[in-house]
Amino acid sequence: MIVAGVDVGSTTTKAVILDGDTIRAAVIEESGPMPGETARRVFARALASAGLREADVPVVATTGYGRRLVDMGGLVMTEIKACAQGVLFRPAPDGPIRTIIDVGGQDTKVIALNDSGEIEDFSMNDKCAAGTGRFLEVLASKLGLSYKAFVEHALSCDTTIQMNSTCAVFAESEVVGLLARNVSKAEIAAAAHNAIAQRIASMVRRVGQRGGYCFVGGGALNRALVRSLQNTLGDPIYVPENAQLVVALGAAVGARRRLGEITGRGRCPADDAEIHR
Amino acid sequence: MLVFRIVDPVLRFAEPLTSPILALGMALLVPFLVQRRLRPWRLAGALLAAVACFFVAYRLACTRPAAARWLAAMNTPLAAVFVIVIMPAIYLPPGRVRRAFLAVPAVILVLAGLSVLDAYRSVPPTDAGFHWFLIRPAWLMGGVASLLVLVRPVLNLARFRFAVRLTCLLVLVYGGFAFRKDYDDYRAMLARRKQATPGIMNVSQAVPVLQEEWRMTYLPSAPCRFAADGGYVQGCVLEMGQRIAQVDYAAALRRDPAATSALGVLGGAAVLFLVMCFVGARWFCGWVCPLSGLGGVLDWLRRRTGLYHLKPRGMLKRALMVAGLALALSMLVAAAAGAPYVGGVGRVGNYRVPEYPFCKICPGQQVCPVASGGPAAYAGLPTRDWGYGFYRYACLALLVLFIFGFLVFRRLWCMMCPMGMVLGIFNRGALFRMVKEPLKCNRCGVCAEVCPMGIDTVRSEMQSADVGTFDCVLCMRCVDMCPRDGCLAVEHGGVRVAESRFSARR
Amino acid sequence: MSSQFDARYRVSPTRAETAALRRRAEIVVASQRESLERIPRRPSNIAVFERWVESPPDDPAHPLVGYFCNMIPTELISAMGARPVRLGCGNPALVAPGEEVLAGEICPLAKSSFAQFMDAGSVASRCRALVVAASCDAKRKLAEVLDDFVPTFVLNLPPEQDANRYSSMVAGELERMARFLSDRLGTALSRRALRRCIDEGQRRTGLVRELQSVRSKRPGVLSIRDLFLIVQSAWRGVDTSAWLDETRKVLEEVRSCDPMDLDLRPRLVLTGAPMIWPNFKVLALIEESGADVVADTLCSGAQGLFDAVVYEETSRSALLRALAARYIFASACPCFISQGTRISRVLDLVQESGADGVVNYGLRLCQLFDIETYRLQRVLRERRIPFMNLRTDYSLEDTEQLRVRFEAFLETLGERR
Repeated sequence: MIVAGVDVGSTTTKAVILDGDTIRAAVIEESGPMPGETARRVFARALASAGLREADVPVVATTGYGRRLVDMGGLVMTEIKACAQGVLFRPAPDGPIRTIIDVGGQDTKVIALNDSGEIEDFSMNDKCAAGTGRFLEVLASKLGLSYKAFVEHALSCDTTIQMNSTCAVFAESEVVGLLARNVSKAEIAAAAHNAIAQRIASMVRRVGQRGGYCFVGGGALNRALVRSLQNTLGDPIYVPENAQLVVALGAAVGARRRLGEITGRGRCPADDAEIHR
Repeated sequence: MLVFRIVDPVLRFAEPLTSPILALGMALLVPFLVQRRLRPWRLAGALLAAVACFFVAYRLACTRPAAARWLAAMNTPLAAVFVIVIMPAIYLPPGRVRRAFLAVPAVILVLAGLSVLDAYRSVPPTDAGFHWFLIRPAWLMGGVASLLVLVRPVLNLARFRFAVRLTCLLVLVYGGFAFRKDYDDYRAMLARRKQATPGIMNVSQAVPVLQEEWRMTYLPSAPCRFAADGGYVQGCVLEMGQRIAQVDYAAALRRDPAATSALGVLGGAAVLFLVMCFVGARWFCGWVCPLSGLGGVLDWLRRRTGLYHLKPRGMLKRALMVAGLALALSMLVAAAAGAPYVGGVGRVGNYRVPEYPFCKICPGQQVCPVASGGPAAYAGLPTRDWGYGFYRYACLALLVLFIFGFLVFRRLWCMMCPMGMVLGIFNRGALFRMVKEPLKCNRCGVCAEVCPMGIDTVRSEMQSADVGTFDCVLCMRCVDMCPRDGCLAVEHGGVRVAESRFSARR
Repeated sequence: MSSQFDARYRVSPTRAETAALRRRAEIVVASQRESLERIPRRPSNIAVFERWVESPPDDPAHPLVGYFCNMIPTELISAMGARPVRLGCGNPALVAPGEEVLAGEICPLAKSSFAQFMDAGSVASRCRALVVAASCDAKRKLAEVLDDFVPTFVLNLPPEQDANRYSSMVAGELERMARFLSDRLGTALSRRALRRCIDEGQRRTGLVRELQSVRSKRPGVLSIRDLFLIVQSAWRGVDTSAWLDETRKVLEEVRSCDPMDLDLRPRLVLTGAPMIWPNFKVLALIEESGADVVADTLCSGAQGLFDAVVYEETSRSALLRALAARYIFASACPCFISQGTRISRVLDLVQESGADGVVNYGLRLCQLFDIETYRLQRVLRERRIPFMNLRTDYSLEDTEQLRVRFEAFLETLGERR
């Protein structure tokens, strides 16, 4: 059962090809201004890397902000459901996952799961940059650092400085003020990460804090953010491998289930293996 | 008439049906069986079996003369009418069986009419002409109940209530004129009316029509015997209470025959009364009581003028209740203490006590004679020499309260009526239940607005489904007016007899 | 009757440039009409309702009296020979002009409703008088401002919905309202006219209940947006018998409708803040995402006509109290301590209609509905009824964000079925 999932995000587009329980291919690319074209290109690259043709993949699921902009003739699902399915694809090492935190380039999601792995509640912040990757990018550029360097700076120190602004625009002015007071760039970077972590933590509390944290999305690759979040929430956070691909993977899982329904073979045994409790 | 040559023996055989013990038994058994949702034939079979058992037990008990007297003392045709006509009308679900059942009240109504014609046969040819309805009590009750049951399907709840209230008012207030047992009885009534109008203190001497030998039929309804010529049915709880207070218990213990027989009559009446309370609770206040019927006429006058009514506050209601209870109890005490009564007069020291002290202050005694016989029938207030003027002034006060209360307050008298209070005890825990579905309530307060007793519980109760209260006269205006379907309902023995259905009215 | 407002500091009404205003408003209406046209099954006479909801027909014999809020007893206005027209505005194009004159952080309904008055030719400006219920802070202060434009009366509401305690107070306020209208219109309130209007209102309720019961089982026969158009046009100064006739036609049509696939979509109960034409963004979103609203508790929806005025006595006081009972004490508006009424209604509707979930529509900047969501959410969660809160304002820019949330909610419903 070969299926594919394409996550057409606002910053990056991802495609995953799933064969039963194995990931055959995974591709990430910057979205650019034409998400439809990008999605098709990314899918083609994924097919090529897996050595398959389009006809080999009966069901393609699209998700993400541009899910309806691309007609791939398959399933359409929201990134919330896809994220939950992708996270539950492999069992977590430290016990059941109850809360998923997805920090993307332009939005942040917190998804609360119940004991059976069903989505119980979710909270999205997609209207403002606070708490998203965009916030850090803006501040990095204000400090004159590359994003990578910004993260390294944050990791190198522990700070007690509080940034007051969560709004990216106001935070820029606050950074200027801090620099003028001779606060080091490392401290500012660390404080910025803590500010985001606070913001995310309040989103977590809104859906009901319940432990079992899993961190995915582009933001999960930022080790400084992982550290800040762990300190703020007080519980260990599991970052799965391929954290950035989780949503596309979840879309592929959904496609697999649909394929099972269509072919009448019902759920494939691998489907049941998803929910590891 | 031929038909009565067949019917009369059947009625004699069916005498056990007139026992309130059977009525009580059926009132408990039928709801129980209905809740079990038996198939119609099984249900009918079970009921017939129960009735047959009772017949056998009754006949066996009647082989002992003492038991026979006691049993006979309680019997009333009303119990039979209840079991045969009223209970099926309430408990039969709609369907073929119910439609078939409607033949029963129809036949009874026809037979009641025929019994009138039959009674006319006893009129001698020299006195040919119209002599009102010569009808025995059993046929009267059966006929009225059957008529109302037959009329129910074509009337909505409000109109049906009006029909029942009007019928009861007419029968209970004017019945004394219009319904007589037979031609001799009718002539005796005319002879009595030719005498001088009895004064206020001998009104009780008017012969009660339903006295057959030593037995009287007690109904928990006012007026008692103060409608013209004693009315056709009689007996308010206080009349019974006063009689019970006036029995010479010492003599009864000595097995004095007069005292024992009085005790027997009253015992029977008390049992009947309790059964009726259990079955009907305060529904009688809302639908039957002619005092409230007369009050309803005053209420109608007020509505015609476009004036709003006054609402009694909690304090006023409580004060009235206490006053009513106090008056009732003190009058009962006076009745007991004033014995023995000679010529209707008793004494407690220098204090002259009339034979039925409460009746002398009851507004019913003032209002009903006028209602039935016109202003000429007015018997006047008690004179000042009774109880140092207490009876005169108390009577005046209650009369004013009665008229003013119904004219301005909707049902102020009912809040102090001792009869109503006794019935009110049975409003919770007996067969009638007022139920509410709080999820459907929008708290609009229309129920409280239309309630003539000023009850707020129906509106404000939001947790439990049981909203029965002591005050409630089961007039069902709240159920009728409630704009939310299925929110309020009245149940009798677990069966819904009324439910709020705004949508069905349009 | 002395005015409720202080006459010393009146200012001349602020007017705006109307041509651009009207053009922008019409663009919004056109776009909503376009989305309406995509509804697969519509009643054949729906165009009548669309016309009515936009502008009331002309009738010089019966002047227009504008009102805000579902709690104003329209029968009282009709009985005095005027035509009540509800002026709450749902057009996002009017929010910005309103904001420029008033303040920004107030509810969009207040801002856009105010902006109507800046156009001297609008329906709002042509009203002979205004009646505003003092339900929320925004309305109360808005009434004070609007008194400079059109003579306004503020109907004070009781602090609690306790009919026992406040029935007389409300009856007194309604008398005051009658006196105000009498001064403005030159007519007097007669009991007979009031009874006639109440009886007409009862017929309206009967029709809406029947429509509701058909839709509850088969929501596909009539879109929730069309139902809202029908209901809202009843409040737009339309002759009641004309409205009854047209609605009866709709009822007959939907009753004889064939079964359709649309009847099998997820069924939702909608609760929350008013949604007034053309603010049908959320309704369109729900239906286009593949679900149906089978029942609602909105004062601007079927719930607004669901309750009827019932009276027993016909004295003036009794009739006014009957109006108070239905309009004030039965209201589920959060301006009272009224969560119980609203939650009961939601639970009852979910039970009756077998709905799959509840959607709460919160209007941004309305504190009342926001805080009510606290208890509503928890009660529904306790009873394991799926719940979704959609919090938005009039602007159309967040449609996609709402869509992804709502689709995710539908997906969770899909898992449970």
